Amino acid sequence: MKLLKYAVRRVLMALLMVFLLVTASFFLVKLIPGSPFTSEKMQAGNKEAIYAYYGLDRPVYEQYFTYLGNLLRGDLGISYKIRAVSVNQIIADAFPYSLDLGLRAIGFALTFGLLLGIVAAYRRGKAMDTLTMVIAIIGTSIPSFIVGFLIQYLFAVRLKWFPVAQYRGFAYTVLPTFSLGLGMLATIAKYTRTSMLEVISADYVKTANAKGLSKRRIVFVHQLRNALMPIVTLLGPMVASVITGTFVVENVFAIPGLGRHYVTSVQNLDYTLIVGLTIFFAAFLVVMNLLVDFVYLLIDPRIKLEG
Amino acid sequence: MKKLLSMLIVTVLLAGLLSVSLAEEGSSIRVGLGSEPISMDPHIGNDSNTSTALLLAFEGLLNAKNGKIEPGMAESYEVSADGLTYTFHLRDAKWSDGVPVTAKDFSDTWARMLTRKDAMDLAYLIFPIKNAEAINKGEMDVSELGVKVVDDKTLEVTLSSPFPFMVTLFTSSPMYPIRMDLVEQHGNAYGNDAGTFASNGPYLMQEWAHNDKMVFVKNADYWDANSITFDTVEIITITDPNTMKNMFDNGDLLWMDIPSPDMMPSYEGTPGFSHYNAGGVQFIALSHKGTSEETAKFTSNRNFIMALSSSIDREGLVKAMYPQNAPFTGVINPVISDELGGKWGDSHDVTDKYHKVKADPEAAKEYLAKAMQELGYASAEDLPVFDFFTTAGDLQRTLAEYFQNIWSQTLGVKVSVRQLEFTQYWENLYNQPYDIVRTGWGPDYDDPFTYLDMWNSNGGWNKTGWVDEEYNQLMLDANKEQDFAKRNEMFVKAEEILLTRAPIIPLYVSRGAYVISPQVEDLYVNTFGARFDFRYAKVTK
Amino acid sequence: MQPEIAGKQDRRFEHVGVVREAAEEIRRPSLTYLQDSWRRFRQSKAAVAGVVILLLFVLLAFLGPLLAPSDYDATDLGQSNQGMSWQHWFGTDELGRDLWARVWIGGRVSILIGILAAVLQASIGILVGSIAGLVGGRVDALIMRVVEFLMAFPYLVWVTLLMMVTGSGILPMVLALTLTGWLSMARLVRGQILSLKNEDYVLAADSLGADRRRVITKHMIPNMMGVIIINMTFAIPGAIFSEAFLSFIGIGIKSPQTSWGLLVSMGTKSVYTYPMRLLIPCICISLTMLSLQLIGDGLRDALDPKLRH
Repeated sequence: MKLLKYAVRRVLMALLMVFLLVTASFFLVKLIPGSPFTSEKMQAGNKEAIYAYYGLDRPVYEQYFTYLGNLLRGDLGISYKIRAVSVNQIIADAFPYSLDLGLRAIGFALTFGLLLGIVAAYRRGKAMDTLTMVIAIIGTSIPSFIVGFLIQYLFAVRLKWFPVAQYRGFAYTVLPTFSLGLGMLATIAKYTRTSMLEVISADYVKTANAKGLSKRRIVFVHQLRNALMPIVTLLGPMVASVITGTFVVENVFAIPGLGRHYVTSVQNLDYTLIVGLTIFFAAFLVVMNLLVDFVYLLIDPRIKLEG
Repeated sequence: MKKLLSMLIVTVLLAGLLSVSLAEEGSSIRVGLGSEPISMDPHIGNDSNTSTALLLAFEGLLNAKNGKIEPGMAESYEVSADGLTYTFHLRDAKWSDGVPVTAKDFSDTWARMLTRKDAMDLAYLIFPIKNAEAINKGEMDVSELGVKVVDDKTLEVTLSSPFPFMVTLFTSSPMYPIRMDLVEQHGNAYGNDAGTFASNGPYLMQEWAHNDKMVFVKNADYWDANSITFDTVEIITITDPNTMKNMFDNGDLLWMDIPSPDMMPSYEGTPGFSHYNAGGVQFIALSHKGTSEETAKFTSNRNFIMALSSSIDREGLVKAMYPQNAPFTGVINPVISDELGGKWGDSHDVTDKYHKVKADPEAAKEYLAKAMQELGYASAEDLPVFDFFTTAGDLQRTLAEYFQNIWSQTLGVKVSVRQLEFTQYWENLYNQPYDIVRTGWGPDYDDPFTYLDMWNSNGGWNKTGWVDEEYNQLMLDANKEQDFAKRNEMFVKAEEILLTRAPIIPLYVSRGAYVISPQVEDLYVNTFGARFDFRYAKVTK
Repeated sequence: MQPEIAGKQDRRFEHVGVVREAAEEIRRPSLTYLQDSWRRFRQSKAAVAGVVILLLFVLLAFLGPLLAPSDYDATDLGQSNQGMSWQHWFGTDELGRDLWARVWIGGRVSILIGILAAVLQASIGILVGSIAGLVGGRVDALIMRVVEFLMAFPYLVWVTLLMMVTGSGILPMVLALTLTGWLSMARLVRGQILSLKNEDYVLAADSLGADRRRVITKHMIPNMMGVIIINMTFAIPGAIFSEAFLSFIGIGIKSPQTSWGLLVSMGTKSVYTYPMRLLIPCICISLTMLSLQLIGDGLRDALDPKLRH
């Protein structure tokens, strides 16, 4: 019962948050100088006609209530620049690519990041540890927008092991997954190593050792479970930002994901798309944070619900 | 947690391949474009990439093939003696869904173009048709348009005044026919996806994966299907220039428009490399209004404009930054047709006549001294800082930094640079105060008039605040003049006025370069409308 | 602490008797917390290497342009697109500008942006975080909701927007980076204060009647300094990275200024013709990142009271 109450409260808070975000972003985008419809050869009077067509000539608050009404029906409006395509459609077209790539990258980063971090912690000061730290530091020292380019050049142009770009099958996913995952892998490895080191010398592990529990049980039940707590926290926003599309990797590998829209929607002053993307991203982040909290509830014995 | 983890990994492994099969081997061509075509509704976009895609799927009354006007949907046409009435006789052609193409399709399309409220950018292109402008402005009913459907196969178009290059307009994408019944059926979605429109051209759109690729397959019912070789044309969108190059080098693409001038040297001299003239002229314009009264005194001062112009080393700049472009000191692009059967540049050369290709720092300093004397300034240090704005992007940034530095080095004139996205750029150019802007102009049709009319201060593009009654009158007269030789003389006079009185500093003409797999031939490049024509391309064996 | 078992004297040990003076002798010099940290920091080779690299870059950023044959923004079309030479150590760009000068001027801007952004982020973060932590209750709840709210904005969208409104430049860039950058610091400081509040020595100081200010200045701040400093060392490379990224996508600083990010961005366009134009600024960014991370890691180990020995 307590859990349910907690869940309901959290979900209500999250909804309120998304509502505030919609409101804030809706009004903020209107403050930017410029117009989505001015073009090189527009004739006098045409701009007014288009503004009237899209209802942009009405008072802002009126537009806001119309937008809210549509939003309640799940309609994010139509894009101004990708002419007359609905924002829902744009997201529905692009999101599957970002989701697919994001999941792969996270899977890759998590698998190898955890592995490297754990091994490094057990082999502290040995070659494996040094290697992990080197990977971690390299992975976080090269600008993300260069990683993709270098990887593409090396593995596709020089060695010809993988296709250069696009997203057409497994072979195509390898390089983008690697490019996107590398930085995350480095971060995860670093965090895992640190928290494993703390856990290894913790009292409850000593106790478990003294009780004569099997090594396996100790590693998985006592150490990993506790060491993973910071990683779970880290993972929430990380997953949200990676899965909702990344500009650089998608651009370099010509993947038609959501990433480009974050930049181009703003450059195009595509009001509805900007607000739509903001809502989409925020909703995703809020859900991820909720998930993290619930995972915490499940795995952390120290957290107990209050009230 | 372990479960969660393993579940995650499994999900990732099973997330599956977004299975999209490659175009089959054989008779297909894959080409790369730097941005996605905007829409398959011909009234929405007319940038060169959109027109390139539209050209595959649609055909107008007439067809431009390698620069020549040939029959299209119309088998034949007659022009009345006064040059005002065009009568087209349509052939038996079918839309992609089997419905016959009729004269009414054309008249409905043009009526829609003039009256639709959501996209009117291109309406001005058909203003030569009688009453079109008044209809677009809402002053006249659409039934008054000078287009008459005589019968299903006969269409009569009346112009408001003779317009010698009207035939090129009949080949252009905004004049392609569309199906109004489908527009009504699909509403906003019309032209946004493969199934939402019908077309009448040599290729049919089979698939459109947004921001990824467009697949066109040959239209077996097309009247001239025998001239079409490739079974499929696949257009891939690749925004990153290096990726585009890598794909071409790897053989993933058979053709690309070289995306960055820095890449020219790696292809120059290889088979399949070609330059083309993009038709655009690039210049700097100054506002007569300025950002303040003080700057306006300078930006409207002839000597000041010439001082800025004389500081610029056009030849060195083009060689260093845009090896494919050509320095330019005129207004009318030399590749445009004059009206006497030749190219403008062959008979009228203004190189070095009013503005100089090379920098002349001494002359520049003298011009500035004169300007300061006229305006009562003793030293360049007292000059205000001028506002200079340009579009976004690294190349534009470098270019702006050149002007900023060279004007400061040579003259001591300081400018503050702003780079604006297009959405802000046009708005700023039309409605906001500015001192200096870097801008350009692409031709709408193959006639010198397209470069001149814009400086007319009664309508037209001219937003600099420069008004010259003599020039405006000249434009009016030229529009009415029937004698091509006389018109030509008027154009020469107009160009001279622009180069000696208007607040513009010509820089260069834009050219591009593409590279194509050496086995492919008969790719045509147009200066107007759809830049690249893949319709007749074929593989040489 | 082996208890001596009666009657079973271990033969391996020998009783040496008790020397009272020796028991009181202090063999190690007495060190304050900071002295000890500094000692441990110096022992870490990686951290010292980081400091050396960073100092080198800072030095070059300030002195490098003086060694160049011309100003970083001086164009000379006669000298355009040159390779490395005795005159132009890093070559020239398309406008004939000396790249050695440009790289170090760019370094100045990047490092400046990094430091300014880190300091601004930290100041706001510390202020807001400590208000939340110290005042607690509703204020805390409200502040944390605002933090969560701001985190839910897609970063790229809103930074691009901000830059479009304010125009380009160093200051707008710093502001844009601070927009979301301060959030993690605020969370961190709040968390620290909440846990410090429950520490025995703070409770003791409280119950002994120490006034609030004394508790904060004498106990809380010194105990949080380590975490804050470490966070800042990581915030600087973060800001340098973000600046580079924003420059890369075309919303950078104002002409004619340049930065490493901008040089990288320009370099990628011509990488097949002039690869050094990409490599040099890239190496600069990477090495700076590397050194700051090494320093950060070193500081974390050095400032961690648990690792003190």
